[in-house]
Amino acid sequence: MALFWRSNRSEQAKNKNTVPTVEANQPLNPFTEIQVFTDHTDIVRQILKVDATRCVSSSDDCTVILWDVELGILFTFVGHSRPVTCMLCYVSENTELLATGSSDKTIRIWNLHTGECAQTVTEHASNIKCLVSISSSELFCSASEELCLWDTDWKIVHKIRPNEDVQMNHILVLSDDRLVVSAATKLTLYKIILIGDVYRLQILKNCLPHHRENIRCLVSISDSVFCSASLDGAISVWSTHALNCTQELNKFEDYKEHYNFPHSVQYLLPIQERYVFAAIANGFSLYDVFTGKCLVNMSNAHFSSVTSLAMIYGGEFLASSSEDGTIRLWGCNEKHSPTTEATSEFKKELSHFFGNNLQSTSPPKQPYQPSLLGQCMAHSGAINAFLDCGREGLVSCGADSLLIMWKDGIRQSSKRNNLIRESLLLNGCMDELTVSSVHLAC
Amino acid sequence: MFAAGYSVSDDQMLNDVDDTENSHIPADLLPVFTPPNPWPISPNFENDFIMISEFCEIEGPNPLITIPSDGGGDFDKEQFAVNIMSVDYNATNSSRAANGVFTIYDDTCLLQEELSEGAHAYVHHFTLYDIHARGFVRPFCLAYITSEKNKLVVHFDKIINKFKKVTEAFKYGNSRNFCEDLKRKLKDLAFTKENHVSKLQYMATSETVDDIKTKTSYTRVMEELEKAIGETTQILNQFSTLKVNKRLERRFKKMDASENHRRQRVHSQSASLHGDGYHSEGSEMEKGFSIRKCQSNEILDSGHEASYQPKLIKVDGYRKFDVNLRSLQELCLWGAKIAMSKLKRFYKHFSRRSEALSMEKMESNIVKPASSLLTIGRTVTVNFIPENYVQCCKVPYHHPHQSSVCKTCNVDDRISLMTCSSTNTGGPLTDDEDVYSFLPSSFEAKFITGSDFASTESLYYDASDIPSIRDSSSDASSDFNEDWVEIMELSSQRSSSPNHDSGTCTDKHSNSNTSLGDGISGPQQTNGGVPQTMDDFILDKTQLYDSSDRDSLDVDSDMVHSDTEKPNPENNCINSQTSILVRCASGNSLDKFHVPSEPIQVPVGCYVSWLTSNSSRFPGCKLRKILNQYSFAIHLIYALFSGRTVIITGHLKHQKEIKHLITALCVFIPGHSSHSQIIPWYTKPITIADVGRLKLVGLAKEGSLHRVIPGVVRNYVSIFDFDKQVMYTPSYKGNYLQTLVAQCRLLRSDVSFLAYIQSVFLEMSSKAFLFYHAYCLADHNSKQSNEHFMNSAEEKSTINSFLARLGITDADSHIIMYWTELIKQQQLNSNSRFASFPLKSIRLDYRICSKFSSNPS
Repeated sequence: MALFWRSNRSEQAKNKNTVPTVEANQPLNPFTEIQVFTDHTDIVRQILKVDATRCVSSSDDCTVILWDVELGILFTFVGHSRPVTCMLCYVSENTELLATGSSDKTIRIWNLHTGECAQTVTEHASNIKCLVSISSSELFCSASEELCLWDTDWKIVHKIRPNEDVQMNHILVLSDDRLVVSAATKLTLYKIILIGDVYRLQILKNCLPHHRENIRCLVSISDSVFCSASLDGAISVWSTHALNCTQELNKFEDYKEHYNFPHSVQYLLPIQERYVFAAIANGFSLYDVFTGKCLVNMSNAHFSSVTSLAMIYGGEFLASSSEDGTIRLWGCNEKHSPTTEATSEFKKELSHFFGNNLQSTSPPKQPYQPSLLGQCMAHSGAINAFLDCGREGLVSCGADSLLIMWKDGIRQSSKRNNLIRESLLLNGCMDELTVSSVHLAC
Repeated sequence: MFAAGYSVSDDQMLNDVDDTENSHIPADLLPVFTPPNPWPISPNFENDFIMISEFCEIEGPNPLITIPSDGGGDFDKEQFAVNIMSVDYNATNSSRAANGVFTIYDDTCLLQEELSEGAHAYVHHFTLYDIHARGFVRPFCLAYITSEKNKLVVHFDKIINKFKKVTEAFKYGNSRNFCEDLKRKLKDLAFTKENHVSKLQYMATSETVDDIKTKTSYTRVMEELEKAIGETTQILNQFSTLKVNKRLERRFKKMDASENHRRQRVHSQSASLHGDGYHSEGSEMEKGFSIRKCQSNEILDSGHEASYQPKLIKVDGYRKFDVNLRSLQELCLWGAKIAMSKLKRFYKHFSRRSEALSMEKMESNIVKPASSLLTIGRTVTVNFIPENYVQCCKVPYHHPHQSSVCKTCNVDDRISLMTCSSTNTGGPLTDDEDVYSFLPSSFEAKFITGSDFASTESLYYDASDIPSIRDSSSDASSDFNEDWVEIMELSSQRSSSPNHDSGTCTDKHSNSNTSLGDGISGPQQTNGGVPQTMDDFILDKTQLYDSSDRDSLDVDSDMVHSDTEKPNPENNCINSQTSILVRCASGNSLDKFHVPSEPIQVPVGCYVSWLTSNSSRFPGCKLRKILNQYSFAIHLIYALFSGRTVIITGHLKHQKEIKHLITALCVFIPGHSSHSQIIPWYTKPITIADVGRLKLVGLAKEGSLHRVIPGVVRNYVSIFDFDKQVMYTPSYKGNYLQTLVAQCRLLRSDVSFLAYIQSVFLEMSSKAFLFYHAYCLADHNSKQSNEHFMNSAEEKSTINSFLARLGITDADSHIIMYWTELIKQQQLNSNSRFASFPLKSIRLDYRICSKFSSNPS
């Protein structure tokens, strides 16, 4: 009970091994207003940003919904017979389209302006896991147990099936039409080559060494570096040119197989082409991919696994969402002084996060522990994903089938002030119009 | 002798005094001065009553009905009927009665005193038409009799309006009936004429003296016939020129239809009755009876009209007026039913104390627009931008040469404009905005069990009030009404694209103008365009009122429906000048935020209505006891005031106590939108979405607290565990509530305490008013927030320092900010132009809770 009423929290925060609890009244938490949408009827898995004000969410109820951050629901895309696993937004002939891959082995193309299903692609023979667009050669690539290459009209260009019965989970597009594809513990490099006027996929090589467990994340850090992370907690840094492993972060040498993977990496968040935030088990860490140094280590950030990380609210906070149903906001508790920015090796984005700690302990010897500044709690189940909408707020989705938009209460209030003021001014004008019309009528 | 005589008389006088018998003393010797009775003569009746009387051509002035049926007590109704009916107001107008031409009379109304009885009366004369009556007229009179003169004087306009509406219903039913009778008579006459013509033709062949005699008499009969036909057609023409009250017409049709339906089942039995009545050429008595019979059965059937068989009638000769005339019900058909229900409703409202009526009248001035109205405990507190204020503000915008026009436009308000136009033209009165029906006539706390969401506001409905609440929707929909405007707003809100800008407003504006100009067509079209929206609208309403009692509703249940597509009957009769004025006036009203067309409409009233109601269970009753009983009451009120959902949870066995608690506490709920609902007893676990819409909930505790209040919700609500008498809520540190609670010990009764807390509400809401106008709407604010990177933290501190200057410290500032936010939200919700803000947002309250126990030990 005491936990709920958030008493004696400060002592706990000091203890490294306990999960910090949030400060009373949360004066620094700007998200004091939420909008709750109950349009989904099952677990909401993913959110994808379309543009500054719109996003799409996919749910286990086999639907995808297009949202406007201010207006709410715009369209519901109904058509898949199994949950949607991956989504891709692209523009074709001035039309915004959304491609969705599903466990029902089809890809559907939706028109974001009309809400109609423009096309259904049924070439795949198994659950589709990943969809990417290869902009350099105007192709799409999708992964299931086979790898398919599509042209802009979703006509199949090439299909290969490298391993029987192994699902390919991630595709990362590198420069020079190269693709890194993850399947179980392996990373494989493909190249798209033009034979005559037909594109073909060709296996170049496997990236070695393999991960010990299945790969969970595959992200690009910069043009020269990308990262992969697996269930055992290891994060491998790869150079895009040589495709060799340059760093191994968070590596547990004495790793033993464990059924619930206590160090599993769920999410990687690349920052400033050099750093990467990793959601590891119930906490998160910040690594420098060049030096391999751990800059931040918050091993007990949540009561349950961290599912997603993002810098939000104009970089003011690091937000972490978790299966415990909360989004926590991390940053520097002290008042941030702007003078440190120039001297810091971090760019503006992270300077909020580190605050003055940066100046005093630069380079930091001990991994820095950020303070918990706020806790956003409204989901009654695990939060699967969330999306930063800048100063407007956050959109989060979770296992409770809700989609919640978190808004800055003060900002919203001020917006309302403006709207009302405008309408009152407009009324004044309108009144003059009325009078003049009366005058004419007379 | 002189002295002796004197002494005798003196003696006698003394005796007289003793015997109280001074009859033989000359009148001029009696003391002239009689001290006036300082007290008003106590009236012979306790409560107000309405009396309907008739100047019967057989019996003379005659009281017919009183409302309530036992109204009046010892009041001499017969005498009063004689008094009020002894003047023929219709005959005073010489032009009417001059040449014996049939005319349709207007109503006459006056205030009358009956000093001996200590009574004051509003008397309303009206005339009904009866084919069997002398001169076809049946003078009737409605009188509202009360001992409080002030009540009549202050609310004179309202009474006139209401009574006109009542007589309108009577007269509409009557004119329909009368026209049917006339048409039938016309057929009879034509038939008789035909008969005579054939007889004349037959007689033309024979030339006997006897025949010639009959022939001359026949020609005389023919002349009479012609004259009678002419007269009847002329009367019919007069009636046909009358404007038709579409609304009543529709209502009649509905009632006809339902009646027909009912009758079809018993048609076989009644069929035999129809047959004999028509052809019998018996005495007047019989004829009257037969017609009475036929009209009650058949007139309503338009199908039977064609099959009416004319009969021969006598045109010459004298009529005897010794027949029992038809009753009011028979004269007016459905009209009587409608009118009586209107009267009863009016009585129920108006028979209350005059203080309550005046207070309601005062507050009704600030009720509109409802979007900027701050209500606390569903009672009117302050309107942040009242209609009048907006008009005042607008005046400086006008150019000098237009000022005269503006003045006429802004003259008082639309109400006066409408009444004047309708009285001038003498057309049928349509229900204009009825303030009292906006305010339910009496608030009687009535819980309807079950946690059904639709019936949440049942708390505020007295079942018998429901018609009047329903009526409010219809009444408001009349004339230059906002109702269809409101609907339009709804529709545009649904159909509008996200980027609807100021264009919408202009659109609406021009729409309203054309529709007002074109008369009937405009509104109909508008409604025709959005039938579905309207249905939804009604559906929601009916859902809300589904707990109503049936018997009183059979009249009114169709009203909502019939009124929805109500066209504007008034427009035809307005001359050009008034129509311009009206157009302008309604244009003004359009500009403002209009009554929120939210699906859930919460009735808002005047607290005096509760306090003066006879019910012992008004909202807020036993409040003092509760404040004294629970030491943490102040924190509880703080939670309610600052918009934090308060959940009172307890075992099923405590249900009754919890409901009592909620009845008492609901006076502290600010706001009247669908975001601030009260549910006396809820049986499902609370979800995060509930936090947004519910403000005070009685929650059944099944098993543990964790089960019914999930952890997610728990952070944002205040919980009163009734079983353990423990409360978890943010603690209050401020001034206003301290004084409020302190006063509780000084005041002896709930009623006086409730009246007192209203003054606290007013003071606090005036601070919110200041904050709203001086900060939220101020210009400095707009510049600041236009910047893309608005700093919330800075904004927050500016707000706090501003509030501090108003003398509002930390805990109170939460309250003030919440109230202001409430108003802003209402305004945005009500305005379709802000399509970008229709979303319900839930405030997350991060204030930390403390645990309070009712037993300090």
